[in-house]
Amino acid sequence: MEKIKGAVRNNTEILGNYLIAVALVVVISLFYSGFGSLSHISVLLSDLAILGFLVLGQTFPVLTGGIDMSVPYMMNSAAVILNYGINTKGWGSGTAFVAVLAGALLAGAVSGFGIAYLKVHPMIMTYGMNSILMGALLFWTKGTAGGFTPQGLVGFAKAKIGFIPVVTIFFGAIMVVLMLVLKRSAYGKRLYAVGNCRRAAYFSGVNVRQTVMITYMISALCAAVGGLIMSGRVGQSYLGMGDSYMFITLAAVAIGGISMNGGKGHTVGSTSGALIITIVLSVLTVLKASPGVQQLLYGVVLLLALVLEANKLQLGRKKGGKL
Amino acid sequence: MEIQKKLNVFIPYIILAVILVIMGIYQPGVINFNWLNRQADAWVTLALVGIGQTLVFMIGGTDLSVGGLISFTNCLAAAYMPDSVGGIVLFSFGILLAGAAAGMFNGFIIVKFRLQPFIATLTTWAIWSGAALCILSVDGGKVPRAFTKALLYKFGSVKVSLLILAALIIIGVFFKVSRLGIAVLAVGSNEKGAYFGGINVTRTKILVYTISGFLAACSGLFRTAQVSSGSPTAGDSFILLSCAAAVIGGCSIVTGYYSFAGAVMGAVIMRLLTSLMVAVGVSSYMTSLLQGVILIVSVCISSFTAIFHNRKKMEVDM
Amino acid sequence: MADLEIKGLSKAFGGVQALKGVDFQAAKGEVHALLGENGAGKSTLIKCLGACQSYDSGAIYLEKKKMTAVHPKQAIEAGIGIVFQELSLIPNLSVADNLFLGMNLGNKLSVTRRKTACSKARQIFKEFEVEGIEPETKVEALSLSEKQTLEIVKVLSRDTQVVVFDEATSALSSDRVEWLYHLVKRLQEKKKIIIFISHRMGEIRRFCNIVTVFRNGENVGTHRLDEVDNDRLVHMMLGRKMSGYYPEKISTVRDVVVLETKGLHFEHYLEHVDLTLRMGEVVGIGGLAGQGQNALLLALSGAVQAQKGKIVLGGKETRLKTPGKAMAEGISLVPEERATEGLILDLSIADNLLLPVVSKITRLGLISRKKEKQLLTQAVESLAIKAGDIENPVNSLSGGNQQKVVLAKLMMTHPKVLLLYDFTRGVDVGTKNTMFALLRKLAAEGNCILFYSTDMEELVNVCDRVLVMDHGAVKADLSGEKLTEENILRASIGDGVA
Repeated sequence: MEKIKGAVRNNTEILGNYLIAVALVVVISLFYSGFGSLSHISVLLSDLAILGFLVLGQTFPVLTGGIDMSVPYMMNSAAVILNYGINTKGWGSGTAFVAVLAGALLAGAVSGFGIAYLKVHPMIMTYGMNSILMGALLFWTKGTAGGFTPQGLVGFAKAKIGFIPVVTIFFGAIMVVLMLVLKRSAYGKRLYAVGNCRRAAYFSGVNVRQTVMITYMISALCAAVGGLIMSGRVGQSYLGMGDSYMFITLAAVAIGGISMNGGKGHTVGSTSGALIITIVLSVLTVLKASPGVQQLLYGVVLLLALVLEANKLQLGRKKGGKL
Repeated sequence: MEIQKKLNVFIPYIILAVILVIMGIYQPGVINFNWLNRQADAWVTLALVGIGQTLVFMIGGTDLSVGGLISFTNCLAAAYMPDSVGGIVLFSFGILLAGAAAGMFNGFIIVKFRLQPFIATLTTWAIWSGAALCILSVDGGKVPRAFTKALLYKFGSVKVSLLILAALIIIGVFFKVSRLGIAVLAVGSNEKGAYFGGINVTRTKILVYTISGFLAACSGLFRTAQVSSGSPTAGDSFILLSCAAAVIGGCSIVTGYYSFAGAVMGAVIMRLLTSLMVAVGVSSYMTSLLQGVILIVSVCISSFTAIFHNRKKMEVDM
Repeated sequence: MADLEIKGLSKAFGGVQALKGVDFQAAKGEVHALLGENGAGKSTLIKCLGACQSYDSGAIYLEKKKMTAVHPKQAIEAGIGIVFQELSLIPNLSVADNLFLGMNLGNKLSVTRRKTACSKARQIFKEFEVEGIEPETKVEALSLSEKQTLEIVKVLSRDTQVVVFDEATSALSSDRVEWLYHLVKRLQEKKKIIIFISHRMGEIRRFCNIVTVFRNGENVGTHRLDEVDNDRLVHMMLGRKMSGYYPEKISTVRDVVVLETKGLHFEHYLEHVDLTLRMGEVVGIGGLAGQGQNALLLALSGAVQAQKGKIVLGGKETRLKTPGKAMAEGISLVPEERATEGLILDLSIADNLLLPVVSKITRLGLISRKKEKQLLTQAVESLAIKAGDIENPVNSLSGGNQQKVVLAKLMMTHPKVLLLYDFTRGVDVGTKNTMFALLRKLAAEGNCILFYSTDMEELVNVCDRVLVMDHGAVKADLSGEKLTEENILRASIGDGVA
């Protein structure tokens, strides 16, 4: 009982997020019929699965104080390569999936290596990697976009149990698994140590570089999965699939209580951020907000989230923590 | 040993020489004053933000919002610039002021809330970029002829852009020994020591971001004249390119070296490399790829220089 | 009222009271020493004096005028100059730029500023009889002694009424110490108020004529130096009699070599160090601060790689590339900075304790609660760690208990060689007792201990042998009858050993 009470106390912000999410749906549904209906919620949950995977992945590098800016083209590459491999190159489905996931891990490993071992700034490395993936992808597919998504994946992406999409359940399961990894695995303990104080973690025997590198591999893998689900939802892959996701992923992570300085937060939290963003996205669509307004809004939201978190930290310092 | 220390000073010049030689081989006779004039416009837009980025690097930060500011100022100018000469001048001043204010805002939130610069400027990038999209959802706009003519004007055989480049280099020499220039070095080198030594660290940081915003606005205005239209994605490529230009220009917070001339060289090199790739027949996507590779490689080299510089210090390498 | 009068100064950091209503008086023309253990409040006092730190209550009066400075620059203008222990120089700027940082030299054109700064710098160097430092050199190229000299000159050139030297001599070479001595005498003649912090008794007796002792944030008394002996001063500093809290020193040394270094070298930090550690030995490292002790421990723990030399562990040459690898081979280090290297303050006590061995207690990928509990209970008991709930963040513990956590954490890795850097600093006497007893027990079990301390009494009473380091080299190896505080001190300052 004590443990549950403690958990609630430490995570009021995240619980707040979930409550706000529900409240938002309820309130908007009063003004717009159809919003908040079961079929609409079904769509929202499906959207959540895609964004959710990206956010799960991004949680890991951010926990070390880094960032993964290669999400757009990691997503896109996964979708396009799968389709291109099957449609044009004649790969079997199994081979294609394995190739895509392995490729994602490899790309993540390269980013992670540059960041952890060559000390390249995460933003620069992953931003550069994004460009590299874009170029490499287009070079390999000779500018085409991959074509239609295989029926198996489409079926999986669109399947439902009642009004709940199967992909969302899948997402939920992975979220729990990653939560366990963060909180109850040796790697998770090392990750939080590195995120909170790299130096002390190093002196405690943690292989800091390896720990950091792995976060980028996880992020890449999750982004790939997100891209595949999106590909299944849409029915085909195209260029630019992932472009609008970079920013909203970061906004979701920040709202979800993950500190950009590292060391604080977890997947249940970042999921709450993903949920809110998914709903907000839907609201903006209903309000017919232009892409410019949307982008502006995300910038403002992320900025507010950062400022609020910083304020909290500073208040905490003044209360008497050591500076 | 002295040479190794000064390596990052000479590297941009060496790279530039190599590129010019390669160009000479592939396209003999191309390099002459006319060619210089034609290239200078593209050089200026990047050099301006390259310098801004250099200064921000030297105080330990990054400014990603320059891309958004360029897009925003470009769209604003293309959509709303009045035709009268007086109007053009006033409007341009207004835009430059807006750029400076945007930069000041960046500096303020980074210092006051102790935010990490790259994430803070990422949010302002989104804000300015979004604003640009609100003004112009697609490329377009109408730019007054007078404005375009003025900025692309040729004084005899020298274009305005070449003059601007020369001016930037000269200003750089004076800047480095000015109070702000020394303050920038001090803050980047030992922030606590700078504070105790009486340097207003807050003011220095905010000023640097303000300058960066101002230069981005300059770049956006110039681009408006150069391309004679506005584009909401105008500034996106500038983020990566300005970082690359700064790094290739040899600036390093570790060794305490920076120069406007170096940043200008860095910008020239990035532009030449791009046109070289186009000339050789590389597709635009590969160009992005290669730019990404160049950025990463130059950062690695800068990193090695820093490690070499610090090799005598017994420091824990995590 | 005295020339410099401090009344009722209090300062708290979080829950710790660093200064408790301190009163202090200093007079013109006197060199006033401040003495006290680490954490006694001396540094905090002068930081408040120099406006580098705000204070909670109390007041400072200089020549009957109340001090209202809130920034060091204002304090200097009001007449208080402090030469700090932590150098506040800017490495990437030149000597001249550093001397005149933030000051207006009256130049219209900034390009000529450089020339003016250099010539003014030369003038200042001449006035203070400093030789060998060129104004155009970048500060990072200077030696530590030259940097400290520059720091001193920087403050003195402002001609303040009060001059405070915070451990100013620790980084100076011996000829510059002489130079400083003459400078201090000159300041005395000029009727300045001089405050001198040092932990070298010999220096204090030479430089100063009056001493105030601090203990636990309080001023415990002021005496003229010719009226008080060292024993009394030490008693005032410690607050209790010296003997009685060390465990009995029974030699447990066996004739098996566990760790050897041959020619361990890192330019400017370690000078071809050879050492041998045997099973069951407790070896101390002494010497003045910053003479390579930390470098030696860092190199041995795998945190840093020496440039030259070999480390031989159990007869086999090894390259210890990271602390993790060293731990696997049985070498663990209690590092210098507890807050940034020893512990992760925001994490729980449990997480800190288990971090080095967290991979070893997993079952099917997840941490086994049973094994977790087992190890944690063992750790807390073995070191008598006073903690309410192990899930609380470790920064909720007192300094002494925090240090116990660091030690307990390392003990989890079952080290054969335990390296400790000044691990009793800021720790209460009761905890010290527990830790020394533990060290002796470990030695008896066949492990070897290498520990650096600035407290010579500790070294003499706990160690079988003490190596005294000076300028990166081991200058003396004291044991048996030769192991006395006097000899350690003598070896530290380059004197012959009795």
